[in-house]
This record gives sequence, structure tokens and C-alpha cells, in this order.
Amino acid sequence: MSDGEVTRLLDAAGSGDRAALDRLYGQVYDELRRLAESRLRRERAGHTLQPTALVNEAYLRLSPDSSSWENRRHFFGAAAQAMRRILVDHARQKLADKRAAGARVTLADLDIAAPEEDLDVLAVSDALDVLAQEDPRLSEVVSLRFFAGMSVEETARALDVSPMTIKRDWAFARAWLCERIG
Amino acid sequence: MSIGTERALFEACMDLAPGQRTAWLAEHCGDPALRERILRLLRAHDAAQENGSLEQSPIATARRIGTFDLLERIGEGAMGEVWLAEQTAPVRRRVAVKIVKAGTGSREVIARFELERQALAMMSHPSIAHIVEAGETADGRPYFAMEYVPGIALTKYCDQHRLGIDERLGLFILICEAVQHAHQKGVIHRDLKPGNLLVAEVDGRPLPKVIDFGIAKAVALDRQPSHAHTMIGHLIGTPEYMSPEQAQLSPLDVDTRADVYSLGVVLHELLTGALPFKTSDPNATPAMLVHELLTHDPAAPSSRVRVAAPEPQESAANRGLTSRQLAARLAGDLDWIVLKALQKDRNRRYGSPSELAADVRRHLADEPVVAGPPSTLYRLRKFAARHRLPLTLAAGVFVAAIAFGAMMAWQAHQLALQRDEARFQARRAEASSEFMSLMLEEVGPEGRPLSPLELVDKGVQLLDRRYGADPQFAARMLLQMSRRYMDLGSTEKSGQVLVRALAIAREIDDPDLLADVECTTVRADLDANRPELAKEHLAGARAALARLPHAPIVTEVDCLRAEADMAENDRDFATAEATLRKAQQLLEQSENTRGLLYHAVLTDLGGVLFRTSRFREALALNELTADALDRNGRGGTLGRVTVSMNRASLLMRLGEVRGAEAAAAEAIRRSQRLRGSEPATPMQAVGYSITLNRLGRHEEARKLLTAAREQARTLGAEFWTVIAQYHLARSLVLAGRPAEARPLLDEVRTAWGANATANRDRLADLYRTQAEIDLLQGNIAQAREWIDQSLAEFGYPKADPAPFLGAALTTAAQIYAKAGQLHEAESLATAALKLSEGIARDPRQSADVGEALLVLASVKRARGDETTAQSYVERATEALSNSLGQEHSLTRQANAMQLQPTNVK
Repeated sequence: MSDGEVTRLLDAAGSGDRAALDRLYGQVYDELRRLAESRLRRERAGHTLQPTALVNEAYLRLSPDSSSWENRRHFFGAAAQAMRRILVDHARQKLADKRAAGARVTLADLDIAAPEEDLDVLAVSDALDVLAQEDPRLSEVVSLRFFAGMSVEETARALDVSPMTIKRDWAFARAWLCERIG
Repeated sequence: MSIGTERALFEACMDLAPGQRTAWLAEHCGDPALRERILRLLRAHDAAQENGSLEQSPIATARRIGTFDLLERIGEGAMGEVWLAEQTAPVRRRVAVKIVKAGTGSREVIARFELERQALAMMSHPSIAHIVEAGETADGRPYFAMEYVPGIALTKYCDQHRLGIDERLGLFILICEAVQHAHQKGVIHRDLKPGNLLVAEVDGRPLPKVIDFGIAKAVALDRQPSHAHTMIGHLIGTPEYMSPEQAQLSPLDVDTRADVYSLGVVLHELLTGALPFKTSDPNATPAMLVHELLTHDPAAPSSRVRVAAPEPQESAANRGLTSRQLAARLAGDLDWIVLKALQKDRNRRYGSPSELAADVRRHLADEPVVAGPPSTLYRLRKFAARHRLPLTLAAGVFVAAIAFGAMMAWQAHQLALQRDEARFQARRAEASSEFMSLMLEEVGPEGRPLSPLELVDKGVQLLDRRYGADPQFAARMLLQMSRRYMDLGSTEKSGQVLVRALAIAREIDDPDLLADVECTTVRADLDANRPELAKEHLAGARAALARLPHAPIVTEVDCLRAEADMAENDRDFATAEATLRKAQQLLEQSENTRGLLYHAVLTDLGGVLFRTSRFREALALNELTADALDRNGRGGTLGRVTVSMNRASLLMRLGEVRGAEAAAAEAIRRSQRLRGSEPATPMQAVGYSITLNRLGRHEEARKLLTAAREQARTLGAEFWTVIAQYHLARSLVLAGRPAEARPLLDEVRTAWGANATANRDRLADLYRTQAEIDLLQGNIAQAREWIDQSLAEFGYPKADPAPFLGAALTTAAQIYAKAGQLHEAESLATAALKLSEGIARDPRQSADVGEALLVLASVKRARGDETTAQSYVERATEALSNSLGQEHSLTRQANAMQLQPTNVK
């Protein structure tokens, strides 16, 4: 993809172009997935799959040259959604493998998470769908924090609000989700 | 009810104490269902807060470290954990991976961990689990992988196999030797117990392995007494194997003799099946055990098995004896040995594990043991047992008495020597461990970490300050420092330190030390271009070695390396190679193949192969060395940088210039990781710039070379100063600035001329450069003289192939062609082509082949053989563009020749 393309999509998304947002999401998803896979296949010392690092790397690689807050927000929103899909697909795949194998999970190419964590991923993802209908903003905060692995400060920067706001959002959203998941 | 209302109520209550929340809600919210819902949310909030729910992103936890898949956690300490892991490449094997726990990686902990890893990497003993790899996880936690030992605990193994007393003692001696080795390397185990002494079967024979070396030291205690050792109630594991000084919670004051104590407990258990201090009360707390340990003296092992209880009988049966037989076997020597090792006052214990092992050996050989009551009767009995035959034959008491007297005097002398040696070893182990810690704690100005050179400087100062009273130790350490200076290219400092070490070695007249210092000095002399001095020192080393009946392998290998250096200096490459092969064999036979010394020998050997133009062989050896260093956790050493740089030199000689540039750049990167902001060493800068020069990147090369020459001057490294200047001159010639190159070259010629034998190849190459200058300036006759001298220096046409001969032949062909001697030019170019084709791995990738072809083509064309010229040009173009790139001036020249075939006729 050409350097300018992401910037163009971000600008279009900023002016409410739904199709541009979808295309942006597709691009980010492809990039993240490629990064995650290559990261895990590379036999190099000390690599772990760190969602934050992946998202940041994707941001740098796709290098949207407009750094407006609006663009950042769209980008990281898309990245968090993409990361969520990667993690959910991965967790589903592993649970399916596990059922099929009937025993210990095999080390498939993306396998580094423990089984309980896979259940977490799926449960949070389902609960998040419900929360999104009640309060889309809260769901976005959770998505960035949990699926993209961002800190409070990073989330605040991505959404251009104060860290205090994110802290409050997070406290309530987390209680809401935990209560629901049980 | 909307989520907004829920949230408002939730936030209002969030910071109230749980008791107040209900009251507050009752007052402010009339809907009981909503109140219930808010309370549930608050409970979920409290729990989430407590557990950090959803804070960890779902897959941030790695189940994979480096090249290892973590399988299961097999151990855990206060700050580190141990995992069983599997490696799939380069070989499938199981290892134990130790890693600092997340969140405990303070600078202190990481420094200790690193110290520990270095200590482990220094140890090389068949009975010590060795390091496989070390590194850092993505989140910056250091880890190292060690050999995984699938053995079972020592005592369990002995009982399962019903080993007799002698066999048990045999295994015990091996363990003592392993612990001794560790002490010599500055590592105190502090947690010796059967669980850390595993027995694996190798080729059907039991081989004990000491594991968990200093994990306690690395991740739990050391300078900062940890809670595990300061709070009795929280003692981890069992204190039964702990020395009184350890149990008294003064970890600062624990020395190598604590390990001797633990070995004593292990020996007690091996012999009797019981622990010296196990109370019969199963509910005894650790505190009670410690109390007993501090207040009671242990009973003699033989008395423990004499009591008529079922356990001793079972213990005896496990040793193939009845309990009465076992008691008789233990009474005397073995009782005394165990009790001496278990002395509460460590000054009364054996001074070292090797002293303990020596006494066990004496017992097995029926010689008098050091431990025990030295009654005359006892000694006489021992003497009689050993000399049963001569004594019965001896005619009278008088003869026996004289023999006895002489024997005792001799033995007393021997024992005193051994004790001194053991004490020295123990002190040295502590001192070098302390020394390393102190050195690592030094920081540079403004709190930045020290550069390697500063670190060594500090080390030398520290030695003067703190260890002046212990000349033996100081000399050994000075020797180490001199080698580090050499690694860093500081010939002058290395020489100064060696002079001091030599003075000490002569004064205390220790032949081992003397031989080692003299041999190291040989190399320093040769580096400083003083072959005569080197010869003197080599003679000194030989004399010192001759006084040693059994020189330690390390000393022997160091001296073989010095002999090989000398032979190489005299251009006797066959001797140099044979000598190094002998050193290699010595190390392999004694399984000393993990240390830096082995890699140094392989690197030296590669140097000889290089100088005899066996580049492909040398490259294979180089790859082997690099791999071995990486596997043994030495990927981050200066030695490893040198290996990468040597790879660059080899690829360069094979004509693969672009590959060489990549390898040199990699070496520089490795070095920068190691040296931080420090500039590359002169050796590295020169290596890299040679590749840049050849690629036509002259500006870059000259910048590097100028800096390298300055740095080498500052470091007093004459060898590198001259080499840097030579390549600076070459760079100017290649850039078409011969006039500036000339004065530089004259200085180089004077310097190398001082040791013309060793520098023969270099001088021959220098004459070629002179010839190129004259060729550029149009002095064809002068150029021909220089190139003839160059070829003569190489010994051409009878010469063995030397690294730069091919290049000289190509230059010669150009000069002769220019002089119109086309026939000679053709035969020279053909010789150059043949030589470089023979050297190259793939002629189509070699710049040397390409250049020879290019010259040959122009000669053919000048002679009117256009068809042959065309085919040479095509091959030249391919080789040059592969090895130097499309944009290189030579490649362009070849392309131009292809396009304009009829211009010259």
C-alpha cells in the first residue's frame, strides 16, 4: 500500500466516509496480522506478542503523515478492533483445536496464550458487544485498553481526552463487564 | 434505568467504605433492584481492583523465550523462576531456563543475575550443568538456558542402585571436584543438598551433576540479605544442609567453607542414610532445627548406624552390608572426615572441597587422613597397611623406624603444601568474586556505565588499592587485565600491566604463574612488533614450564598459542598449525570446549588458514566458532565481534565484497551494542573500511580510518596505527589521489621494514600500492619496478598462495599491458584468474575473478582476439556486478567494454 493511502483513508473517515473507515480497518487488520505472524515465527531471542508494540509498529509502518488528533483516534480505533478480531479468531481456533485434539493445546503458529486467557478473550468480546449498544464510548475505551493493550495515558492520548476521564470510564466499564461475565 | 444512571450512582459510591455504601444508596436510590445492581457492580469493581482483572492484555505473557518453548515451571525463587523448556532449532533438546520474574527487575537484581550468568559461563566442568544460551526477553528481563539434567537425587540414586561405600565415595569425590572448580571461578553454591546433586547415567556410568548453581545467590540473596534468610519462620526448604554461619543469618559472611559444611552433611547422609541433625520430632520447626544445629555437636556417623533400630538396618542393606559391618566400615577415617567437615568453627573445617576430597581419596588408598586424632598408633597402622610386604620382610624394628621417620617428615611437608594451596584457592575464589562485584559497581562520570576500557582501568586501580598484600592473586588478575587490554587493542597498557605481573611472578618464583605471564607477554611483544623480545620471553616460558611436572591445561594451551604465534611470525605456518591443533586436541580431550580459550585457539587456527590462503576452510571454522560462542552464551563478547570481523576478512579474500561489507557492518553493530557510544576499535574500523574502500565508498572509509589511526595512537597500539595509515594511503590511491598517498606510504614502509619477515605479505602488498601510484602518475617504468619487487617479495612464481598475491598479479598485468608487453600481461592476468578462481567459492560471485577477467579481456582485445575478449567481458560483468554491485565503477567499465567492442583494434 502506498504511503499516502492510509492518510487519505483517515482523512476520508474523518469526514464521515463509512467505506473509507472499512477499508482503513481492512488495511490495518492485514498489517497487524502480518506483523503478529512474522513476530511469532521469527526465531529470535526474547520476542513476545505485545499488542501495544504491534499496534505501534503498525502505526509507524503505515505512517499516516497527518498527525491530527482525529486521525490518530480513527487509526487506533481501527487498530484496536483489528487486534480484537485477531485475538478472538485465535482464541476460537485454539478452542476448536483443543476440542478436536481432546487433549493439550498444540503449539499452533499463534499459540502463546494459556487456555483460560482464551476464554477471557471470548467472554470479554461477547460482553463488549452488549456494552457497545449501551455506551459505544465505553466499549471503545475497553477495546483500546484490553485488546490493544494500551495504558490509561495512551488511551487518553488516542481518544484525546484527559487520563482522569479514561480512569473513570475504565473503572465503570470494567466493573460492568466483570459483573456480566461473573 | 439507563446506563448513565447506573454509572452516576456507581461513581458516587465507589470511593466510600463498603459499610457506608448501603446506607448511602438507601438514602439516594429508591429502587431496590437498582440498589442491588449497583452493589453487585461495586463488588465486581472491588474484586477487579484486587486481581487487576483485564489489566493484563490477553496475550502479553510469553510462553516462549528466545528459541525455547517453555513447557512447565519446575522451580521458583523469590525473584526468579526456572522452566523446563524445549529448543527445536538448531537441535532438538531440553533445557532449563532461568528467568527473572516480571516486576522484580531492579537494576540490582539484574546486575546480580548477569554476574551469575557470567560466573556460570566461566565454569566448564563435566559435573556442572553448563549454559546453553543467554539473552533478554522482549520486556527486558534477562534469562539464561542451561543444560537440563534428567537425573535423580544423589542419595536416592545410591540407594536405588544399592551402591557400596567405595562407589558412594567415588561419586562424592567427583562432586567435591565440581564444587572446587566453581570456587576457583569465584562461585559459592550455598545450597548444596542431594536435590541439587543429580546423578545422570552417561554411557552406563553414573555422572553426578551439580545444578542450581548460585540461583539462590543470583536471585535471592547476596549483598542484600533477603527475607528468606532473615526471617526464621520463612526459611525456604530445609535448613538441614545449611552451615551454622548461614543459619545465623549472616549471608554477608558466608564463604567457600559453607559449601564444605554442606558437603559434609551430604557425605553423612550418603554413608549413614540419615542427616546429622534431624530431630526425631516430625513437628520440629525450622527454628528448632537451627537451634539444634547451633548448640549440639553431631555424633560420629558410625554411632548412628550402630543403634538397633529398623532404619540403620535398612540403610546398611542399601549399602550391601549389615548394620554391624557398616558401623565398622565407618568407624575411624570416615567418622573423622565427616566430623571435620561438620565443624561449627569453619576455621577447623577442611579449607576447600578439594581438601575434603583429598582426604576421602587418602582413605580409599589406605593412607593416613588429615582428619582425626593423629595418634602414633593410627599412623603406624596405616603405614603398615600400605607397606605390608616390605614391613614383614624388614629384619628389625630399627630399619622400620628409620623408614617411618623419613616417611612422616615427607608426608607432613606434603600436607602442609596442600593445605596452603587449598587455602589459597579458597581465598582466591572469594577475592575474585568480590573483585568482580566491586568492578561492576563502579560507575563512570555522571553515573553513566563505564566503557570497557575504563572498566579495565578501574580494575587495575582496584587491584592496587585492595589486593596489594596478595601478590599471587594480584598477578593472576593483572594477567586477566592485560588480556582484556589486548582485546581492546591497547597494546601499551597491556604491556605495562604485564611487566608488573612478570615482576611479581619472578619475585614469588611460581613457575605456573611465570609460564603463563611469559607466554602472554610473547603475544603482546609480537603485537608491538618486537619479535626479539618475544623470543626471549618464549625462552623464559619454556624454562618455567620445564620446572612444572604437570602444568595446568590452561597454562599449557596459552603457551602453545605463544609458540604458534612465534612460528607464524617466522612464517613457519606448518608448525604454527600443528601447534594449534595440539592445543585444540588438549582442550577437547579435557572437555574444556566451552570457555573463551577454546574459541581463541580456533580463531588462531583460522588465522593460520587465512595466511596460507585456505579461505574456505577458514570460513567453515569461523562459522563453527561463531555458532559455538552463541550457543555458550558468549554472543555478546568482544571475542564474538572479532569472529564476525574475521568473517568479513575471509569473505573479502574470497572476493565476495558485498558479503564482506555486510559481515563487517554486523560486527560493528555488535560492537556498538557492547561498547555503547565508544567508537569502534581500530581493528573493527580498519576491517570495515577495507570493504568500503573496495566498494568505492572512499570518503566513508577515510573518515573511519583517520579516526581509527587516532584511536590506535591514543591506545598505544602501534600495529593498528600503521595498518590504519596503510589503508588510508590505499584509499587515497583508489580515489585517484596518488600524490597525497605517497608520504603516508613511506612511513608505513619504514615501520613494517623493522620486522620484514613477519610483514612480508604486507610489504609485498605495499609495493603493489607503490606501483599503482606510479601507474596513476604515468611513471610506467617505475611502476614496473615496484610490481616486480612486489611479486618477488611474494616469491612468485614459486610462491605459496598468499592472500594478496592475486591482486598483485592483476595490477602487474595492467602495468605490463600499459608498457606494451602484451604477452607477459596475458600470462600474468591468466595466472591471476587461475589463482582467484581456485580461491573463490563461486567464481561468478568473486570481485577478484571479475577484475582479472576485465584485465584479461582488455589484453585480448589489444591483441586483436575480439571473440575471446567479448566472452571474458561478459563473465567479468557478471562477477563484478554480483560482488561489487551494478553501480561500481569497475562494473560500469565492464559494461562499457561490452557496448563498444570495435573501439579498440
